[in-house]
Amino acid sequence: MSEYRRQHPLMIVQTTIRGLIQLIWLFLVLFFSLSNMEQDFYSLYLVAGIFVLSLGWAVLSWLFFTYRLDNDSLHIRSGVIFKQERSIRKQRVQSVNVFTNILQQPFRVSRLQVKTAGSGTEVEFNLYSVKWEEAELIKEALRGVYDTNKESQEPVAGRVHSVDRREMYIAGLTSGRFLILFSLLIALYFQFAQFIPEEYLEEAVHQLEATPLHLLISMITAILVVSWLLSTVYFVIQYYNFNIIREQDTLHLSWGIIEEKKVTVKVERIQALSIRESPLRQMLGRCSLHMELAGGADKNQDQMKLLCPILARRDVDSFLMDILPEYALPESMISVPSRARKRYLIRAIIPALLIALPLHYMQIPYFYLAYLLIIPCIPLGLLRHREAATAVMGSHLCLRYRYFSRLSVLVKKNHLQSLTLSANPMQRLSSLHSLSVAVLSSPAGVRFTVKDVDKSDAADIWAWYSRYG
Amino acid sequence: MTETRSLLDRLRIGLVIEDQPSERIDPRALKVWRINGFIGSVIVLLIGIAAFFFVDTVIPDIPNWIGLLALALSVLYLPFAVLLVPPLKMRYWRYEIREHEIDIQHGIIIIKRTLVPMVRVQHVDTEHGPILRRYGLATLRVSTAASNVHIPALSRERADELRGEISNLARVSDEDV
Repeated sequence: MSEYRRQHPLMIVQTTIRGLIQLIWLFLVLFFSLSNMEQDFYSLYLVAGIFVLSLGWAVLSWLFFTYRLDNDSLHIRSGVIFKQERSIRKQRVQSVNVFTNILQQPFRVSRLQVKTAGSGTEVEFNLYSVKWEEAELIKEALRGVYDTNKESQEPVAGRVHSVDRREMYIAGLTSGRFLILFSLLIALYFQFAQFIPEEYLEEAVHQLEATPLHLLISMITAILVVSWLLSTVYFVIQYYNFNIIREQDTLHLSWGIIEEKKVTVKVERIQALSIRESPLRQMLGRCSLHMELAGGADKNQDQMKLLCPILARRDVDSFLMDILPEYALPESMISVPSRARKRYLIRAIIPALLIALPLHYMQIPYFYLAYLLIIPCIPLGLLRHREAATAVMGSHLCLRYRYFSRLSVLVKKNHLQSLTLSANPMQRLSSLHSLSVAVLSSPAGVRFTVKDVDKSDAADIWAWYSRYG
Repeated sequence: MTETRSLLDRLRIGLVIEDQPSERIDPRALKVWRINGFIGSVIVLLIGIAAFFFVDTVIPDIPNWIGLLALALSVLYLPFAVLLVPPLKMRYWRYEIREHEIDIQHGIIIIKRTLVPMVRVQHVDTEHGPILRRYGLATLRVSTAASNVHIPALSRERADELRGEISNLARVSDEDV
């Protein structure tokens, strides 16, 4: 591939659609502001004009967008009015990802995304529609440099992990996304409830021999069930067929039906690994794995950070051994001391009090119900206390703590950007320190904190991290 | 009587911080922090006065206790920011720059201690605003890829010296890792 080539013409359709979606507010304004017939006629012209212009622009963009792959770089020329030429050297490529949406599938084309190191907006290059074979070709070529010993290229059995369908449904059911959908639907319901004629409701009450309260409760239950099912289906479709392949220094992740995604991650980019157990998943003995990555900021950060959407807790060890032997779970951890328990309890109860006290002060009817919020906070606080722990094993630090989900974070010493111990006077009086580490994660850093670690345990970690320990 | 004293002693012993980093901030910083505190509290006072009159004119029917509270708090902020905070800050601010790491302690109530290895240092800056400049001081800022720390109010020469030192050490560390 030595001369410049164009992408698949499907790009024209994609660009047009994207352009029109960006202009959707304009259409809405037109739709709502011009309502009489005569102006409607003009606005129709206007819409048609916009459509033609978008299409024309898309054709031009396609015409002027060419790319070329040579021995050590990918070159891209683009721009209708302002010309742009870009060369990406293979050595600088951090990852090559392939996305295929539902429109592209029948045409056998994909979006190819090339990411380089850095944190600005200029780190990402997209080829919006390339043939599958060609995407593979480019991917191979850009990868060539760092895999010099290519003999053992094909994935060895056992270094592949696929999430089976049953696990996927469990993941969907426990994803917790139904809460978002639920609140959305509830809000919608109350928005539209006022438009439902009274007679209908009365009729319904009469027919079902139910009181309005019953009706409300059953409505809410129905919405809960529907949103749970919908969110499960959505989750399963989104992450369907999740595959993880470890190949030398790279991880290949792929998932999705409607939009197929293929993501490559160089293992050296992984700055930290976290094992997340949400309460629902913990009950079923399941967890999900996430990574903190350096370089290559992305809009869909959360998706890119996902290593495995669901995994049985007891399989984590063998999973890591196969896929990511760079990380391992510690055999034992040092819990925070029991004298920290009351601090954990107080911390858990404060948010409930912050809700209840103002309501109490304002004497809102049934305000005392708000104090019931304290009840679930007590076991939560106890749980947080019991599970907070630290461990050092060789060059790895492991921190475990809970907010709602339990998080176990594994970080290598040379990925820790800094270590901070902090203590307020109350903590100092009981020889406790909060330990927090900064880890690089695009676009900014993240911090992981375990509160109320015993002073001497904190000092041990400090000494482990210090070169003079 | 003896009991209260022993309680105080216990508090004092409990609150003591052992093996702190060795170096302190330039004593001139105290003055700068006081001036900054004063400027800050004048602004806070103006906001307090504005809040008082706002509540007074917009809702004149009710007793203006929210406005009064805001005013009282903004008045109390002055001695707090000028007399109390700067000496405490001075007392706890310590730093130590070793060959392989930067060790910083700071805080007023919550005392934080941060360790940054030289290998992780991305860049070092010194900066000074008009007040710091007036006293010949500068702030040294050390950034890693994920976090940054600063040492406020060093003498300008010391800050420049440290900046050079850290960027040299950071470079050396880069080579051996």
